[in-house]
Amino acid sequence: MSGTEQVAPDQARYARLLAIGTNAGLGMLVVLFGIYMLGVVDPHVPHERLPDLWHLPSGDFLELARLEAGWGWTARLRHADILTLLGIVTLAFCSVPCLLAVMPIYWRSGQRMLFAICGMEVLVIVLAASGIIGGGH
Amino acid sequence: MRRLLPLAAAAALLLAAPESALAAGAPGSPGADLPWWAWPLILFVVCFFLGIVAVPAGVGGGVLFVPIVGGFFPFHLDFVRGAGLLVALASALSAGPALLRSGLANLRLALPLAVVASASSILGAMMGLALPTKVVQVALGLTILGIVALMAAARRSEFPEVARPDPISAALGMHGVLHDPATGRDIAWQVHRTPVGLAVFFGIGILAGMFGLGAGWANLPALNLLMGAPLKVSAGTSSFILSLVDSSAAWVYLHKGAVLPMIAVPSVIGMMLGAKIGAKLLKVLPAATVRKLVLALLAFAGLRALLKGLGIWN
Repeated sequence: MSGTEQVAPDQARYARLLAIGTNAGLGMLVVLFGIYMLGVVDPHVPHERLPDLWHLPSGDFLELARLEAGWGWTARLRHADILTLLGIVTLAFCSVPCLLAVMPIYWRSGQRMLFAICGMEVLVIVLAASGIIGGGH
Repeated sequence: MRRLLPLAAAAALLLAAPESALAAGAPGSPGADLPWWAWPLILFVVCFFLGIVAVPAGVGGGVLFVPIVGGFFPFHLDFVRGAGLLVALASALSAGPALLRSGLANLRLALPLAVVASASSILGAMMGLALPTKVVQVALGLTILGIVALMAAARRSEFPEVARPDPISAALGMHGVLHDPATGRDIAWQVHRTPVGLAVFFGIGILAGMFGLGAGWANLPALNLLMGAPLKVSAGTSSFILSLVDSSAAWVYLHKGAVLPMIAVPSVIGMMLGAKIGAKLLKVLPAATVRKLVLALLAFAGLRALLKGLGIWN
Protein backbone atom coordinates (compact mmCIF):
# COMPACT_ATOMS: atom_id res chain seq x y z
CA MET A 1 0.00 0.00 0.00
CA SER A 2 1.15 3.49 -0.81
CA GLY A 3 0.35 6.36 1.44
CA THR A 4 0.10 6.90 5.15
CA GLU A 5 -0.61 3.97 7.43
CA GLN A 6 -3.61 5.61 9.05
CA VAL A 7 -6.00 8.06 7.40
CA ALA A 8 -6.07 11.41 9.17
CA PRO A 9 -9.59 12.29 10.45
CA ASP A 10 -9.86 15.41 8.26
CA GLN A 11 -8.94 13.45 5.13
CA ALA A 12 -11.31 10.58 6.02
CA ARG A 13 -14.26 12.92 6.59
CA TYR A 14 -13.56 14.94 3.44
CA ALA A 15 -13.21 11.75 1.36
CA ARG A 16 -16.48 10.29 2.64
CA LEU A 17 -18.52 13.37 1.77
CA LEU A 18 -16.72 13.91 -1.53
CA ALA A 19 -17.58 10.37 -2.64
CA ILE A 20 -21.27 10.98 -1.85
CA GLY A 21 -21.35 14.33 -3.66
CA THR A 22 -19.46 13.11 -6.72
CA ASN A 23 -21.57 9.97 -7.11
CA ALA A 24 -24.76 12.01 -6.73
CA GLY A 25 -23.59 14.56 -9.31
CA LEU A 26 -22.45 11.98 -11.85
CA GLY A 27 -25.59 9.90 -11.34
CA MET A 28 -27.80 12.94 -11.91
CA LEU A 29 -25.77 13.89 -14.97
CA VAL A 30 -26.24 10.49 -16.62
CA VAL A 31 -29.96 10.14 -15.79
CA LEU A 32 -30.93 13.70 -16.72
CA PHE A 33 -28.88 13.61 -19.92
CA GLY A 34 -30.60 10.33 -20.85
CA ILE A 35 -33.98 12.03 -20.38
CA TYR A 36 -32.75 14.94 -22.53
CA MET A 37 -31.35 12.79 -25.35
CA LEU A 38 -34.36 10.48 -25.52
CA GLY A 39 -36.77 13.41 -25.66
CA VAL A 40 -38.76 12.22 -22.64
CA VAL A 41 -39.08 15.87 -21.59
CA ASP A 42 -39.06 18.71 -24.15
CA PRO A 43 -35.83 20.77 -24.22
CA HIS A 44 -35.83 24.57 -24.22
CA VAL A 45 -33.64 24.58 -27.35
CA PRO A 46 -34.81 21.86 -29.76
CA HIS A 47 -32.15 19.25 -30.57
CA GLU A 48 -32.29 20.04 -34.28
CA ARG A 49 -31.53 23.71 -33.66
CA LEU A 50 -28.30 23.14 -31.74
CA PRO A 51 -25.99 22.80 -34.80
CA ASP A 52 -27.10 26.31 -35.84
CA LEU A 53 -26.12 27.72 -32.45
CA TRP A 54 -23.14 25.89 -31.00
CA HIS A 55 -20.59 27.56 -33.27
CA LEU A 56 -21.56 30.96 -31.83
CA PRO A 57 -19.98 32.68 -28.79
CA SER A 58 -21.83 31.93 -25.56
CA GLY A 59 -23.27 35.48 -25.38
CA ASP A 60 -24.84 35.18 -28.84
CA PHE A 61 -26.06 31.69 -27.97
CA LEU A 62 -27.87 32.99 -24.88
CA GLU A 63 -29.46 35.79 -26.89
CA LEU A 64 -30.67 33.60 -29.76
CA ALA A 65 -31.80 30.82 -27.40
CA ARG A 66 -33.62 33.41 -25.26
CA LEU A 67 -31.78 32.40 -22.11
CA GLU A 68 -30.50 34.66 -19.35
CA ALA A 69 -26.99 34.73 -17.90
CA GLY A 70 -26.48 33.86 -14.22
CA TRP A 71 -29.13 31.90 -12.36
CA GLY A 72 -31.90 32.75 -14.86
CA TRP A 73 -31.90 29.15 -16.10
CA THR A 74 -33.50 27.94 -12.86
CA ALA A 75 -36.81 29.41 -14.03
CA ARG A 76 -36.78 26.95 -16.96
CA LEU A 77 -36.17 23.71 -15.10
CA ARG A 78 -39.19 22.11 -16.76
CA HIS A 79 -37.06 21.74 -19.90
CA ALA A 80 -34.76 18.71 -20.22
CA ASP A 81 -31.65 20.58 -21.42
CA ILE A 82 -31.85 23.02 -18.53
CA LEU A 83 -32.63 20.23 -16.07
CA THR A 84 -29.34 18.53 -17.02
CA LEU A 85 -27.50 21.54 -15.58
CA LEU A 86 -28.54 20.33 -12.10
CA GLY A 87 -26.02 17.48 -12.35
CA ILE A 88 -23.29 19.92 -13.39
CA VAL A 89 -24.18 22.31 -10.56
CA THR A 90 -24.00 19.43 -8.07
CA LEU A 91 -20.48 18.57 -9.23
CA ALA A 92 -19.37 22.21 -9.11
CA PHE A 93 -20.69 22.65 -5.57
CA CYS A 94 -19.97 19.29 -3.92
CA SER A 95 -16.61 20.40 -2.47
CA VAL A 96 -18.30 23.02 -0.27
CA PRO A 97 -19.96 20.60 2.23
CA CYS A 98 -16.66 18.69 2.43
CA LEU A 99 -14.75 21.86 3.35
CA LEU A 100 -17.39 22.89 5.89
CA ALA A 101 -17.22 19.42 7.46
CA VAL A 102 -13.47 19.51 8.11
CA MET A 103 -13.48 23.04 9.55
CA PRO A 104 -14.57 21.92 13.07
CA ILE A 105 -11.70 19.40 13.11
CA TYR A 106 -9.18 22.17 12.48
CA TRP A 107 -10.86 24.48 15.03
CA ARG A 108 -10.86 21.86 17.79
CA SER A 109 -7.21 20.96 17.17
CA GLY A 110 -6.18 24.62 17.31
CA GLN A 111 -5.19 24.84 13.65
CA ARG A 112 -6.78 28.23 13.16
CA MET A 113 -4.90 29.05 9.95
CA LEU A 114 -6.17 25.92 8.20
CA PHE A 115 -9.64 26.71 9.55
CA ALA A 116 -9.42 30.18 8.00
CA ILE A 117 -8.07 28.81 4.70
CA CYS A 118 -11.01 26.37 4.45
CA GLY A 119 -13.35 29.30 5.12
CA MET A 120 -11.69 31.32 2.37
CA GLU A 121 -12.01 28.46 -0.13
CA VAL A 122 -15.71 28.11 0.73
CA LEU A 123 -16.10 31.86 0.25
CA VAL A 124 -14.39 31.81 -3.16
CA ILE A 125 -16.61 28.98 -4.45
CA VAL A 126 -19.79 30.48 -2.98
CA LEU A 127 -19.01 33.91 -4.43
CA ALA A 128 -18.33 32.34 -7.83
CA ALA A 129 -21.53 30.30 -7.58
CA SER A 130 -23.57 33.35 -6.60
CA GLY A 131 -22.32 35.22 -9.66
CA ILE A 132 -21.21 38.14 -7.49
CA ILE A 133 -17.66 37.61 -8.75
CA GLY A 134 -17.10 36.19 -12.19
CA GLY A 135 -20.16 37.78 -13.74
CA GLY A 136 -23.67 36.57 -14.28
CA HIS A 137 -25.06 38.29 -11.24
CA MET B 1 3.08 -4.25 -32.66
CA ARG B 2 -0.37 -5.67 -31.92
CA ARG B 3 -0.43 -3.68 -28.68
CA LEU B 4 -0.14 -0.47 -30.66
CA LEU B 5 -3.17 -1.27 -32.81
CA PRO B 6 -5.72 0.42 -30.49
CA LEU B 7 -3.48 3.48 -30.42
CA ALA B 8 -3.33 3.67 -34.18
CA ALA B 9 -7.13 3.34 -34.30
CA ALA B 10 -7.49 6.08 -31.70
CA ALA B 11 -5.14 8.42 -33.55
CA ALA B 12 -6.95 7.78 -36.83
CA LEU B 13 -10.28 8.49 -35.16
CA LEU B 14 -9.02 11.64 -33.54
CA LEU B 15 -7.55 13.02 -36.71
CA ALA B 16 -9.87 11.69 -39.38
CA ALA B 17 -13.38 11.75 -37.91
CA PRO B 18 -13.39 15.28 -36.58
CA GLU B 19 -11.49 16.53 -39.65
CA SER B 20 -14.52 15.70 -41.78
CA ALA B 21 -16.50 17.99 -39.56
CA LEU B 22 -13.98 20.76 -39.59
CA ALA B 23 -16.16 23.56 -40.85
CA ALA B 24 -19.48 22.03 -40.01
CA GLY B 25 -20.73 24.77 -37.76
CA ALA B 26 -22.15 27.08 -40.34
CA PRO B 27 -25.14 26.02 -42.44
CA GLY B 28 -24.11 24.76 -45.86
CA SER B 29 -20.62 23.70 -44.75
CA PRO B 30 -19.29 20.12 -45.18
CA GLY B 31 -20.64 18.47 -42.02
CA ALA B 32 -23.79 20.55 -41.70
CA ASP B 33 -26.01 17.84 -43.20
CA LEU B 34 -25.16 15.44 -40.36
CA PRO B 35 -28.06 14.79 -37.97
CA TRP B 36 -27.79 16.65 -34.65
CA TRP B 37 -27.17 13.44 -32.69
CA ALA B 38 -24.09 12.56 -34.73
CA TRP B 39 -22.04 15.26 -33.02
CA PRO B 40 -22.47 14.16 -29.41
CA LEU B 41 -21.90 10.59 -30.56
CA ILE B 42 -18.63 11.44 -32.37
CA LEU B 43 -17.62 13.53 -29.36
CA PHE B 44 -18.31 10.64 -26.99
CA VAL B 45 -16.23 8.21 -29.09
CA VAL B 46 -13.32 10.64 -29.43
CA CYS B 47 -13.37 11.42 -25.70
CA PHE B 48 -13.50 7.70 -24.92
CA PHE B 49 -10.25 7.20 -26.86
CA LEU B 50 -8.73 10.33 -25.36
CA GLY B 51 -9.53 8.90 -21.92
CA ILE B 52 -7.82 5.60 -22.81
CA VAL B 53 -4.57 7.23 -23.96
CA ALA B 54 -4.53 9.94 -21.26
CA VAL B 55 -3.88 7.47 -18.42
CA PRO B 56 -0.79 5.67 -19.78
CA ALA B 57 0.49 8.97 -21.20
CA GLY B 58 0.29 10.49 -17.73
CA VAL B 59 -1.64 13.57 -18.86
CA GLY B 60 -4.98 14.94 -17.75
CA GLY B 61 -8.03 14.61 -19.99
CA GLY B 62 -8.71 18.36 -19.97
CA VAL B 63 -5.39 19.27 -21.51
CA LEU B 64 -6.06 16.90 -24.44
CA PHE B 65 -9.72 17.79 -24.76
CA VAL B 66 -9.62 21.58 -25.30
CA PRO B 67 -7.08 21.82 -28.13
CA ILE B 68 -8.30 18.71 -29.95
CA VAL B 69 -12.05 19.33 -29.71
CA GLY B 70 -11.54 23.09 -30.08
CA GLY B 71 -9.46 22.57 -33.20
CA PHE B 72 -11.42 19.91 -35.01
CA PHE B 73 -15.07 20.17 -33.96
CA PRO B 74 -17.59 22.83 -34.99
CA PHE B 75 -18.27 24.06 -31.45
CA HIS B 76 -17.31 27.57 -30.36
CA LEU B 77 -14.27 27.74 -28.11
CA ASP B 78 -16.43 29.08 -25.24
CA PHE B 79 -18.37 25.79 -25.08
CA VAL B 80 -15.23 23.69 -25.55
CA ARG B 81 -13.50 25.41 -22.63
CA GLY B 82 -16.62 25.04 -20.46
CA ALA B 83 -16.77 21.33 -21.28
CA GLY B 84 -12.99 20.98 -20.78
CA LEU B 85 -13.28 22.36 -17.27
CA LEU B 86 -16.06 19.90 -16.49
CA VAL B 87 -14.06 16.99 -17.90
CA ALA B 88 -11.13 17.92 -15.64
CA LEU B 89 -13.45 18.60 -12.67
CA ALA B 90 -15.34 15.31 -12.94
CA SER B 91 -12.11 13.31 -13.26
CA ALA B 92 -10.53 15.08 -10.27
CA LEU B 93 -13.65 14.67 -8.11
CA SER B 94 -13.91 10.95 -8.93
CA ALA B 95 -10.28 10.31 -8.05
CA GLY B 96 -10.42 12.51 -4.92
CA PRO B 97 -11.84 10.14 -2.28
CA ALA B 98 -9.41 7.31 -3.03
CA LEU B 99 -6.44 9.69 -3.16
CA LEU B 100 -7.37 11.23 0.20
CA ARG B 101 -7.91 7.85 1.89
CA SER B 102 -4.57 6.52 0.61
CA GLY B 103 -2.74 9.64 1.77
CA LEU B 104 -1.50 10.33 -1.77
CA ALA B 105 -3.48 13.57 -1.72
CA ASN B 106 -2.67 15.74 1.28
CA LEU B 107 -5.32 18.24 2.41
CA ARG B 108 -2.91 20.45 4.35
CA LEU B 109 -0.59 20.70 1.36
CA ALA B 110 -3.45 21.27 -1.07
CA LEU B 111 -5.69 23.79 0.68
CA PRO B 112 -3.42 26.88 0.81
CA LEU B 113 -2.40 26.41 -2.84
CA ALA B 114 -5.98 25.69 -3.91
CA VAL B 115 -7.34 28.90 -2.35
CA VAL B 116 -4.92 31.02 -4.37
CA ALA B 117 -5.45 29.06 -7.60
CA SER B 118 -9.26 29.01 -7.16
CA ALA B 119 -9.43 32.78 -6.84
CA SER B 120 -7.15 33.33 -9.83
CA SER B 121 -9.02 30.74 -11.93
CA ILE B 122 -12.11 32.96 -11.66
CA LEU B 123 -10.04 35.84 -12.95
CA GLY B 124 -8.71 33.63 -15.77
CA ALA B 125 -12.20 32.46 -16.73
CA MET B 126 -13.46 36.06 -16.85
CA MET B 127 -10.50 37.10 -19.01
CA GLY B 128 -10.93 34.12 -21.32
CA LEU B 129 -14.62 34.83 -21.89
CA ALA B 130 -14.03 38.57 -22.36
CA LEU B 131 -11.11 38.42 -24.82
CA PRO B 132 -11.72 38.07 -28.58
CA THR B 133 -11.84 34.39 -29.64
CA LYS B 134 -8.87 34.78 -32.02
CA VAL B 135 -6.68 36.12 -29.21
CA VAL B 136 -7.68 33.21 -26.96
CA GLN B 137 -6.98 30.75 -29.82
CA VAL B 138 -3.47 32.14 -30.31
CA ALA B 139 -2.80 32.13 -26.53
CA LEU B 140 -4.18 28.58 -26.30
CA GLY B 141 -1.93 27.41 -29.14
CA LEU B 142 1.15 28.96 -27.55
CA THR B 143 0.22 27.53 -24.13
CA ILE B 144 -0.28 24.03 -25.53
CA LEU B 145 3.05 24.15 -27.37
CA GLY B 146 4.65 25.33 -24.12
CA ILE B 147 3.01 22.44 -22.23
CA VAL B 148 4.39 19.95 -24.79
CA ALA B 149 7.89 21.38 -24.32
CA LEU B 150 7.50 21.29 -20.52
CA MET B 151 6.22 17.72 -20.51
CA ALA B 152 8.93 16.52 -22.88
CA ALA B 153 11.74 18.15 -20.91
CA ALA B 154 10.57 18.01 -17.28
CA ARG B 155 12.49 15.88 -14.86
CA ARG B 156 10.79 14.21 -11.91
CA SER B 157 12.15 13.38 -8.51
CA GLU B 158 10.73 10.46 -6.52
CA PHE B 159 11.81 11.87 -3.13
CA PRO B 160 13.21 15.41 -3.45
CA GLU B 161 15.52 16.51 -0.68
CA VAL B 162 14.10 19.27 1.50
CA ALA B 163 16.59 20.25 4.18
CA ARG B 164 14.32 22.60 6.09
CA PRO B 165 10.66 23.55 5.69
CA ASP B 166 9.94 27.25 5.22
CA PRO B 167 8.08 29.06 8.02
CA ILE B 168 4.72 29.07 6.16
CA SER B 169 4.71 25.35 5.37
CA ALA B 170 5.80 24.59 8.95
CA ALA B 171 3.00 26.76 10.38
CA LEU B 172 0.39 25.15 8.12
CA GLY B 173 1.54 21.60 8.80
CA MET B 174 2.34 20.93 5.13
CA HIS B 175 4.16 17.66 5.79
CA GLY B 176 3.36 13.97 6.06
CA VAL B 177 4.60 10.40 5.97
CA LEU B 178 4.65 8.27 2.82
CA HIS B 179 5.03 4.52 2.82
CA ASP B 180 7.52 3.42 0.18
CA PRO B 181 6.56 -0.08 -0.99
CA ALA B 182 9.95 -0.57 -2.66
CA THR B 183 11.89 -0.39 0.60
CA GLY B 184 9.01 -1.04 3.01
CA ARG B 185 9.95 2.12 4.94
CA ASP B 186 7.86 5.08 6.03
CA ILE B 187 9.45 8.24 4.70
CA ALA B 188 8.68 11.60 6.30
CA TRP B 189 8.34 14.48 3.84
CA GLN B 190 8.09 18.24 4.10
CA VAL B 191 8.02 21.12 1.61
CA HIS B 192 9.84 24.39 1.09
CA ARG B 193 9.61 27.54 -1.09
CA THR B 194 5.91 27.93 -0.21
CA PRO B 195 5.74 31.69 -1.04
CA VAL B 196 7.09 31.01 -4.56
CA GLY B 197 4.73 28.03 -4.80
CA LEU B 198 1.76 30.24 -3.95
CA ALA B 199 2.78 32.72 -6.67
CA VAL B 200 3.17 29.92 -9.23
CA PHE B 201 -0.26 28.50 -8.32
CA PHE B 202 -1.76 31.95 -8.85
CA GLY B 203 -0.51 31.80 -12.45
CA ILE B 204 -1.63 28.19 -12.85
CA GLY B 205 -5.15 29.16 -11.75
CA ILE B 206 -5.33 31.89 -14.39
CA LEU B 207 -4.33 29.48 -17.16
CA ALA B 208 -6.74 26.79 -15.90
CA GLY B 209 -9.66 29.23 -15.85
CA MET B 210 -8.80 30.94 -19.11
CA PHE B 211 -8.40 27.81 -21.23
CA GLY B 212 -10.45 25.21 -19.31
CA LEU B 213 -7.42 22.91 -19.49
CA GLY B 214 -7.21 21.43 -16.04
CA ALA B 215 -3.71 22.06 -14.80
CA GLY B 216 -2.12 18.81 -13.69
CA TRP B 217 0.68 19.44 -16.19
CA ALA B 218 1.72 22.49 -14.15
CA ASN B 219 0.64 21.41 -10.64
CA LEU B 220 2.82 18.31 -10.65
CA PRO B 221 6.20 19.96 -11.43
CA ALA B 222 5.35 22.88 -9.11
CA LEU B 223 4.68 20.54 -6.18
CA ASN B 224 7.44 18.06 -6.95
CA LEU B 225 10.35 20.06 -8.34
CA LEU B 226 9.68 23.49 -6.84
CA MET B 227 8.22 22.71 -3.42
CA GLY B 228 9.88 19.34 -2.95
CA ALA B 229 6.88 17.07 -2.27
CA PRO B 230 7.45 13.37 -3.13
CA LEU B 231 6.36 12.45 -6.66
CA LYS B 232 3.38 10.30 -5.61
CA VAL B 233 2.12 12.90 -3.14
CA SER B 234 2.56 15.58 -5.82
CA ALA B 235 0.54 13.59 -8.37
CA GLY B 236 -2.30 12.85 -5.91
CA THR B 237 -2.40 16.35 -4.43
CA SER B 238 -2.25 17.93 -7.90
CA SER B 239 -5.40 16.05 -8.90
CA PHE B 240 -7.13 17.03 -5.67
CA ILE B 241 -6.27 20.72 -6.12
CA LEU B 242 -7.91 20.57 -9.55
CA SER B 243 -11.21 19.55 -7.93
CA LEU B 244 -11.28 22.88 -6.08
CA VAL B 245 -9.79 25.14 -8.77
CA ASP B 246 -12.06 23.87 -11.53
CA SER B 247 -15.13 24.14 -9.26
CA SER B 248 -14.61 27.89 -8.98
CA ALA B 249 -13.92 28.47 -12.69
CA ALA B 250 -16.80 26.20 -13.76
CA TRP B 251 -19.29 28.57 -12.12
CA VAL B 252 -18.10 31.47 -14.29
CA TYR B 253 -18.64 29.41 -17.44
CA LEU B 254 -22.05 28.27 -16.16
CA HIS B 255 -23.17 31.82 -15.47
CA LYS B 256 -21.99 33.03 -18.88
CA GLY B 257 -23.96 30.29 -20.66
CA ALA B 258 -20.75 28.57 -21.82
CA VAL B 259 -21.74 25.11 -20.53
CA LEU B 260 -23.81 23.29 -23.12
CA PRO B 261 -25.00 19.90 -21.80
CA MET B 262 -25.03 18.44 -25.33
CA ILE B 263 -21.27 19.03 -25.53
CA ALA B 264 -20.21 18.73 -21.88
CA VAL B 265 -22.00 15.53 -20.81
CA PRO B 266 -20.91 13.15 -23.62
CA SER B 267 -17.38 14.48 -23.13
CA VAL B 268 -17.39 13.83 -19.37
CA ILE B 269 -18.91 10.35 -19.69
CA GLY B 270 -16.69 9.35 -22.63
CA MET B 271 -13.51 10.56 -20.95
CA MET B 272 -14.31 8.86 -17.63
CA LEU B 273 -15.20 5.52 -19.23
CA GLY B 274 -12.06 5.72 -21.39
CA ALA B 275 -9.91 6.49 -18.35
CA LYS B 276 -11.23 3.36 -16.62
CA ILE B 277 -10.20 1.25 -19.65
CA GLY B 278 -6.90 3.14 -19.83
CA ALA B 279 -6.15 2.30 -16.20
CA LYS B 280 -6.79 -1.40 -16.91
CA LEU B 281 -4.56 -1.29 -20.01
CA LEU B 282 -1.79 0.43 -18.08
CA LYS B 283 0.25 -2.77 -17.77
CA VAL B 284 -0.33 -3.81 -21.39
CA LEU B 285 0.22 -0.57 -23.31
CA PRO B 286 3.79 0.65 -23.79
CA ALA B 287 3.53 3.82 -21.69
CA ALA B 288 6.61 5.55 -23.14
CA THR B 289 5.40 5.08 -26.71
CA VAL B 290 1.88 6.20 -25.83
CA ARG B 291 3.28 9.30 -24.14
CA LYS B 292 5.31 10.20 -27.24
CA LEU B 293 2.26 9.71 -29.48
CA VAL B 294 0.06 11.81 -27.20
CA LEU B 295 2.66 14.59 -27.03
CA ALA B 296 2.87 14.57 -30.84
CA LEU B 297 -0.93 14.75 -31.04
CA LEU B 298 -0.96 17.58 -28.51
CA ALA B 299 1.72 19.49 -30.46
CA PHE B 300 -0.33 19.09 -33.63
CA ALA B 301 -3.47 20.34 -31.87
CA GLY B 302 -1.54 23.26 -30.34
CA LEU B 303 -0.19 24.23 -33.76
CA ARG B 304 -3.71 23.98 -35.18
CA ALA B 305 -5.06 26.32 -32.45
CA LEU B 306 -2.24 28.79 -33.10
CA LEU B 307 -2.73 28.80 -36.88
CA LYS B 308 -6.52 28.98 -36.48
CA GLY B 309 -6.14 32.01 -34.22
CA LEU B 310 -3.77 33.67 -36.69
CA GLY B 311 -6.26 33.03 -39.50
CA ILE B 312 -3.77 30.82 -41.41
CA TRP B 313 -5.62 27.47 -41.03
CA ASN B 314 -9.38 27.92 -40.64
